[in-house]
Amino acid sequence: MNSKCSALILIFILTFSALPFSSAFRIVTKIKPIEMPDGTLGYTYVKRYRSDSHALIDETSNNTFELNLREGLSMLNEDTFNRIFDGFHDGTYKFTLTEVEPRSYMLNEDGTYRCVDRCDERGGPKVKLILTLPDGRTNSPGFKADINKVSGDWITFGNVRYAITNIEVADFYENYIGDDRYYFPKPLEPEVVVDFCIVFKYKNTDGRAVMPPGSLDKCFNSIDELLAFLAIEYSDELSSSAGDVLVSTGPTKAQCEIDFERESDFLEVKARPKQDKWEEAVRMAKFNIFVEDEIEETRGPTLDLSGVTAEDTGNALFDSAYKFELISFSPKILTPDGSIVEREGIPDADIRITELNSGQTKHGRMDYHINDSELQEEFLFGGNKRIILRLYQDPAQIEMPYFVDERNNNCDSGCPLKENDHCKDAYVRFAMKVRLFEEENRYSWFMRTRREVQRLAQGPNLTINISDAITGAPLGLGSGASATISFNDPVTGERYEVTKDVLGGKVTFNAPISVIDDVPITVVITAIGYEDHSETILLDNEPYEASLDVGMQPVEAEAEPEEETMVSAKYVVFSYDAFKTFVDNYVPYFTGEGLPEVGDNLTTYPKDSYVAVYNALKEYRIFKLVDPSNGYQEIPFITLLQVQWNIKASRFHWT
Amino acid sequence: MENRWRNLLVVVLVICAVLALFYLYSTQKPAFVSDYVAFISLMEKYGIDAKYFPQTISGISKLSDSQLEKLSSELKAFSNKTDGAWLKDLSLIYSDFADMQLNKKKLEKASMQARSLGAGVCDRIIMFKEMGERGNKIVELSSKLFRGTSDFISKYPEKSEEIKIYVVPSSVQLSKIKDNYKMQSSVVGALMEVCK
Repeated sequence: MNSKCSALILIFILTFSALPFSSAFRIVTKIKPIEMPDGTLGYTYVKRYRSDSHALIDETSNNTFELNLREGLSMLNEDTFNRIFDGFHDGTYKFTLTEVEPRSYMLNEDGTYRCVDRCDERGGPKVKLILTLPDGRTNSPGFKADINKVSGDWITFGNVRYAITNIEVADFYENYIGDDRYYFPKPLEPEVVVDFCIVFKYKNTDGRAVMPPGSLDKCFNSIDELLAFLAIEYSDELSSSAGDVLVSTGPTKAQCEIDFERESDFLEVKARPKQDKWEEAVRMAKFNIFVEDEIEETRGPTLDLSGVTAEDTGNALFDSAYKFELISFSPKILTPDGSIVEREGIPDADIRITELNSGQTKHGRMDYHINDSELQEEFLFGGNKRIILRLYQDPAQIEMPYFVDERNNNCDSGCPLKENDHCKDAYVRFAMKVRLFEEENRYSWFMRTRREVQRLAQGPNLTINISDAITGAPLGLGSGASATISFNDPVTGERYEVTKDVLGGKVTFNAPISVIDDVPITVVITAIGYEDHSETILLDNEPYEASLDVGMQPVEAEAEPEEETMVSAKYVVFSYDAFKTFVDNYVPYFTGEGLPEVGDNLTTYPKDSYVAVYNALKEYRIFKLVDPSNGYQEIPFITLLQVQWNIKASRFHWT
Repeated sequence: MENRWRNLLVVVLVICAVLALFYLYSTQKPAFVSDYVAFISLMEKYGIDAKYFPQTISGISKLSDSQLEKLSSELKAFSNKTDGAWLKDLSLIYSDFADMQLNKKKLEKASMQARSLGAGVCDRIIMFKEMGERGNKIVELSSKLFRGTSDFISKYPEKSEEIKIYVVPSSVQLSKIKDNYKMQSSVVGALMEVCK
């Protein structure tokens, strides 16, 4: 049998013999039993019409999964682990399963069942999986993960994202004990199995902290999957670096000059030492630092910041362009086998910024290859004119001269070997951010390219249009709508978040755009009477305009034995008897399947009629309106009417 | 009698002339010329212009696995046959380039298979083992090439100038390869432990 044939057979066998969830991130637990009306124990969920209907998890069963990444990857040596995860995942993550919302079936009059909840094949059951971070913080208990991976199903918390990949739970069927209606699982199996995957923040091969977007490609079901991903990632890097060797084109003087003169798309400053000082350094084997008067030429971008305005007040923050130059630097020393020589002094680069309008200059020395806090420097030009520069920490991105020739410790060519391997001239890339809030001491994210800075000066590059999912009407001030964007700083990984009110269905933000990689931006829309909407947008290097539809909160009723029970998510309170009266008298065709959606369009009624009806209903204690966030205090109808009526009107109907 | 001596003298002169010609032929012809032509022909057979090393070595990426294997073994065989020391060394350098390209391709193939197979990770472990082995070969060959090209330039400076050879990989490239291999081998090693 030839080798090709063997490989094909091997692939075939491997493809079909594998178990999909070996050593997976998985919780296997049980539903909490409750006492049924006849005194027996059963498994049920009782709140039938609520969107958060659920069965509780038996917390005495093992409903948690604990993950300590450092222990899980103990077979990786310490150095490798730290280089990949850089302290992002020290400690234990604890995942806790608290609720499950199964698929449920309703009993028809003819004794058959029809599916009423979580019926969509792509959707299926939901669970609530809560994460406790190593520092003890716990995420919003209101969130539910869904097997159907729409944007809202990704949960981002701390340095991880996670999503449910598989839920195994029995379907629930409507049933009766006497007149009491309950739901039973069929088969009568209390076990719940939940598999989930985790996206880990990590340091990529360029040395940047990366939190991959919510995508199953980089969401791992187990430790071995994570290792497999890393093995492939580093193999690809190795293959790519070997490929660079095989297409090596060698040094040319001309290329050296072109590179020095050409302005980079990156924020980058360059410097060329004076020839005699260079020769002296080589002769004396003195490679400590080239100070300012030993520099022949320097190059760097001029960035016009005069259009940058404050995010909070809209006022201009800068009034000038700024010139960036490299005025001194320490070279790197490499041995012929490619390792960096440890040096006694701290290698650094000194960048000068000149404010062109005033001629004022500032300069600051930043250390490279040093810990995080010493990489950056703040430059103050008065008022809010503040700029922070930061060097990249990855050696490949700090392109200082190399001294590699083993005979005289000199750079062989004095020219670039290739684009990123300059030999005599210093090329220093930097990232910058600017003070972006007038009232607070808050800065923008770190920008890495000239285009990012130009875009910031030109104004907002992320526009979000928000409208009602049913009517299509833009959400405005009346709905109290606000939008929050959040993302991780592309350089430091720190979280950046800003919230703005939505006006006329529109809100605009400044956000990072990049030619280097796409930046995932999480957008959360909140509005009174609407369900929170969360979506992740990937920004590339162009301004982006997104249109988001937000859905109303469901207005749902429930039949509880208590005298007064909240059924709508926020405002309407029914007593059971009152509700029955309401249904009998005003909605006679109500089938009990949910609120009616047929009938007249109530928005055609004059407002007076609604007020009259409302007062009548209230007088007879059919319902009242309350604010659950304020101790269930009653809300005056007119106030509510303004913001809520459109929602209710399309759902209620009476004659 | 006189004729006999004259004829003998002619024969001796002819023999001397033949011997002199043979001597001249065997000593004055540059030994490497035919070898160098053979070397160039061998490289050209695979679409590689050996006169401009290593700028055109990128043509090597177009070769199939079997062509690379063949080229490498033919170059090794050639290095054993040739008398020219510099040509022998250059053949071995080219042979290492072919081996490096072959291992790079095999690493990519294993990586692609490891990525695309639907099986559980430990069921794919053979692919990861292959990736580790290929990575190790690449690092070995990179170091060997670095030493080989550096030594070549030291030993044959004029020839180096003529064929424009320089140190490949550069120190920085070698450093990057070693660094990537360190990470790859560490992760693959961990995977082997997990799947034991």
